[in-house]
Amino acid sequence: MLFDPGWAAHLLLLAAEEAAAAEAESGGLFDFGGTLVLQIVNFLLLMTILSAVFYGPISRVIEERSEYIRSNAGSAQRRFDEAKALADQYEQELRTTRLEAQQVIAAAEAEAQKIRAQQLAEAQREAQERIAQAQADLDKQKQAALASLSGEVEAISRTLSEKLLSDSARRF
Amino acid sequence: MELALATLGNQPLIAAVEVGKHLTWQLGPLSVHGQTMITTWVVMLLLIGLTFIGTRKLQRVPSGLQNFLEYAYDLLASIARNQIGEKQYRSWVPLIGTIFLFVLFANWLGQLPLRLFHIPEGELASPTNDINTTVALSLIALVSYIYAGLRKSGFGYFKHYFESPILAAVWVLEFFTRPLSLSIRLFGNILAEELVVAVLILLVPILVPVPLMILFLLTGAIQALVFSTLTASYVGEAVEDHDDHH
Repeated sequence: MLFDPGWAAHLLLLAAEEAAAAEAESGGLFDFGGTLVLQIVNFLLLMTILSAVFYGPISRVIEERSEYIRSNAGSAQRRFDEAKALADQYEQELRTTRLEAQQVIAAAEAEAQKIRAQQLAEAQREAQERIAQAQADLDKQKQAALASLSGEVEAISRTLSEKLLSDSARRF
Repeated sequence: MELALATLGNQPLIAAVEVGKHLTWQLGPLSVHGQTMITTWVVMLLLIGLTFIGTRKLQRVPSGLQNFLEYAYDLLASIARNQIGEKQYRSWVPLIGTIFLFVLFANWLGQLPLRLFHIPEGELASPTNDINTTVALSLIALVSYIYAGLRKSGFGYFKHYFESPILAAVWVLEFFTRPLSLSIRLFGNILAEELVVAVLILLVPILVPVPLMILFLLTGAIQALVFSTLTASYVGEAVEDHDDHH
C-alpha cells in the first residue's frame, strides 16, 4: 500500500474504522488495473463521438458562416467600388462639360467682340466717307457759287461803269 | 478505509466517508472499478446527449443551444489556439476540448449528491476521484504530444536528450514528471474536495458545506482548464518551429 489509510482519520480527529477486509479486496486509492485501460478506451470513444457530433459540425457551421460573411462583405465592397467608380466618372464628365461650356462661352464672346469691332469699323468708315462726300459737295458748291458771283460782279461793275460814263458824257 | 461518525452515545450513524473502496467488476481478465465506470458513462452520456441535441438543426444564425455550443467550441478552440498556434491548432481541438469537457463534467458531477444512489460497495463519486481516470488522461496527453513531436520532427524530437548529459537527466525527469504532475494534481484536488465536503457534511450537514461546494464548482472548472491548457502547451511545444532557436 502506498497510502496509509489512517492519515485522514487522525488528522480530522474522527473515529476511524478500518475495513481491513474490504481494503484487501479493493486495493485502496492507488489500485491501478483494468479501470485505467477502460478509461483510456472511454476517453478515446468520447473524443471520437464528440468529433462526429460536436467539433465537426460546429466548426463547419462557423466556417460556413464566416465564409458567407466574407463573401457578402466582398460583394458589398465590390458594389461600393463600382458605385464609387461611377460617381467618379460622372464627376469627370461634369468637369469636361463645364469646361466645354466655358470654351463655348469664350468663343461666342470672342466672336461677338470681333463682330462688334468689325461693325464699328464699318460704321466709322462709312461716316468718314459721308463726311468726306459732304465736304466735297460743299467745296464744289462753294466753287460754283464763287464762280457765279465773280461773273455777276463783272457784269455789275460793267453796268456801273457804263452808267457812270454815260452820265458824265451827258453833262459835258 | 472508512471514517465514520460514531460518537455521542448511541446516535445512529448519519454519514460516513469512504475512500479507496471500490465496486469491483470482473470483466474477463480486467478487474474494473464499477463506480468510476458508472459515473464516467454518465458524463459521456451527458456530453454526447447535449452536443447531439444541440447540433441537430444547425443554422447560419444560431439560437438557443447551438449558440451555447458555439460559444463552448470557441472557448475550447481558443485554449488550443493560444497554446499551439494559429497554424495547426485545428486538428488538436478535439483532444484538448474533450479533455476540458470530460474533466469539467466529471468534477461537477462529483458535486451532486451522488450518495443518494446506493451501490453495493463503495460510493458514486466524480470519475476524476479515481487515479486510474487521471492517469489514463495524462497517458493520453503524453502519447499525444510525443506523437505530435515525432510527426513534426521525426526522431529529431528526442535530439535534445543527447545534447548534454546533465540536461538529458532533466529531460528524462521531465518526461516522467509531466504526466505524473498532470494526473496527481487533478486526482489530489478532486479527492481533497470530496473529502472536505464529506467531512463537513459529517460535522454540520446543513448550509455550512454550501459555500465550499460553490467554491469547488469553480476549482473543478479551473482544474479542467489547467489540465487542458497544460496538454495544449505540451503539444504546442512539440509542434513549434525550433529553427529560430538554433
